[in-house]
Amino acid sequence: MGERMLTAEGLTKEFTPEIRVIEDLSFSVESGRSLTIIGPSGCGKSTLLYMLAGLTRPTSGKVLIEGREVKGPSREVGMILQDFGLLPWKTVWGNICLGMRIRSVPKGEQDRRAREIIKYLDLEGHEDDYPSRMSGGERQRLAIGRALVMEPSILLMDEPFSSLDTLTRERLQNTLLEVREQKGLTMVTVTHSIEEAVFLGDEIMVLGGRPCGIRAIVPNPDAGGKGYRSDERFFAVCREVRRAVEGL
Amino acid sequence: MNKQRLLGYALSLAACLLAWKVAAVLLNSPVLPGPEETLRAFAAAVGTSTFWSNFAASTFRVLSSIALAWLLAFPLGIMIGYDRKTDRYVSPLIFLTYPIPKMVFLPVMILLFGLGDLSKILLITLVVFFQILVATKEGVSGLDRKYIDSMRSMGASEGDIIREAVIPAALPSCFTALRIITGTSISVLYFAETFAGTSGLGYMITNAWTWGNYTEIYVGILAMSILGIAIYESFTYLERRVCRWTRAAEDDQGEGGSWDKAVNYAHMIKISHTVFALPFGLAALVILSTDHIITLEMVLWIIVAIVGARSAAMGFNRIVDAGIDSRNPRTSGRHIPQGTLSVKQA
Repeated sequence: MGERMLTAEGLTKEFTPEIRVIEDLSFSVESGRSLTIIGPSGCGKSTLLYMLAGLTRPTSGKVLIEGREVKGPSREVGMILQDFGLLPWKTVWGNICLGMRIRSVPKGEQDRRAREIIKYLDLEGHEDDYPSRMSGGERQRLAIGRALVMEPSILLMDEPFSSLDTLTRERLQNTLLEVREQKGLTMVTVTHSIEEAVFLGDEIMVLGGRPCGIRAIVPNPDAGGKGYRSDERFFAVCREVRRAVEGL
Repeated sequence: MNKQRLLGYALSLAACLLAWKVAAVLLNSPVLPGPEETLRAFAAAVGTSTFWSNFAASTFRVLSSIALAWLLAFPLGIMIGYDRKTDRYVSPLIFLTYPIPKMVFLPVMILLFGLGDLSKILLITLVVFFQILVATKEGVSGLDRKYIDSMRSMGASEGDIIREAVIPAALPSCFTALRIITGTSISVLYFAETFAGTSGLGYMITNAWTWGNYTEIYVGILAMSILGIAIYESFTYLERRVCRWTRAAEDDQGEGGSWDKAVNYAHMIKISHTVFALPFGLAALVILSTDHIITLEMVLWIIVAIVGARSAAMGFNRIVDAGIDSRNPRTSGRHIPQGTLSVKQA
């Protein structure tokens, strides 16, 4: 704990010289900590996450993981996209093993890890199901499993729970907290829900403006417990984030 | 599902035979022999080697053409669907040549490649190539970026992405195209076989026509139909084996729902398509009029026969395709995630 796991230094992204979406973003996330990013739609949150994942190159500035510059997708980073990106033509087992196959993990090791993660996320009995046959919550657990099975140290998520109903969403947020605690994951979550941002983040970064920049960083020292949702301090931070978002 | 299909087949077959019988009795002309007479002749023909050599020649031609067209069109469709640069250079060429009626190249094909199998195979290939190409491209274009992005984030190479995402995304629409071109390829085969060569079912039909052997014509028609149904069903079977996930999505929809839909579609398509098909039947009548006297009564009964046959065939088609319709190639890519969304929320 304590050392910088993920650092962004002066990140700027232009799609064309006239369209600058992100300007000079700098921040860092310590190992095992969780940062949530909130901001209006279309402000470049997803682009930022893509740059952190090494999927999009910044126009200027750089992303560092444990001090090394990110130049492409890395083994240390797991990513969960909006609407999950699960392949519909692969079964649960096929989706879980996809990343390991791409990274040429030996077959025996693949089976062991897949079985372990399926058990851990309570997906037993669904191994041969296709994603289309599963509920939204199950699909989201599968997406988390597909990322975790690669044993990343950083988990990036782009509005992971936006299409779920409230109860399922809260249950999965709890699952995510557990996972993070057990595996010591560093997390960056992009969300448009203030409550989700405050529940999941040790810090909440409010983005806004055109081009997009950091408008506020709200500390959230008491986050992390399942009971936090009904805590008075939770509501206080929510109000503070709301003020920052509304002040844009 | 399978029982339903078999029942559908049996009922449609019965309806077709009945319509045929009624038409034959009413028409009372050697031009339209009854089903039992034709089936007897068919059974006799099946015992001869001539029939089988014709059947084998036609089967070989049509299957090689489809295989060749698929081998050329599927990879090219994947490439232009996935790679924007290839698309930019190749697509204009394709869409410029696509509307040209390829059948008119038969004389050129014969002059270049002779009267044997090659000219026929190449003509059919030329016709169906574009349909497979366009369907495959559409399938790939419908692939959501998020699948590719999520695979990239796992470190996937271009090869991984094409193998694991692009090809599976193209398969359902490619199979739909293969089923559609089955009919087209047999029509072109008939056309090519009537013009050149001395073998194949098309030759057999034309030859029987020349000799005024009407029953033999229907034996040939029956054989071509069986060939078509066999190829069509093989593709359906293959798709079920290869694209299991499309059935997983489809099973979520209630049986009753797809039946209702099938009935509705049958109503709609029956009428419009039957009207559309009528001129073809009447055109056949015009051809016959060269050596037969046509009465008004005959025209009337032929229309009745066509409407009856089409309705029965449509009903049959709807029953068989009830499932396939629910996974239209263009929408399947989009509907899988969308459909699952609503199912989950329900």
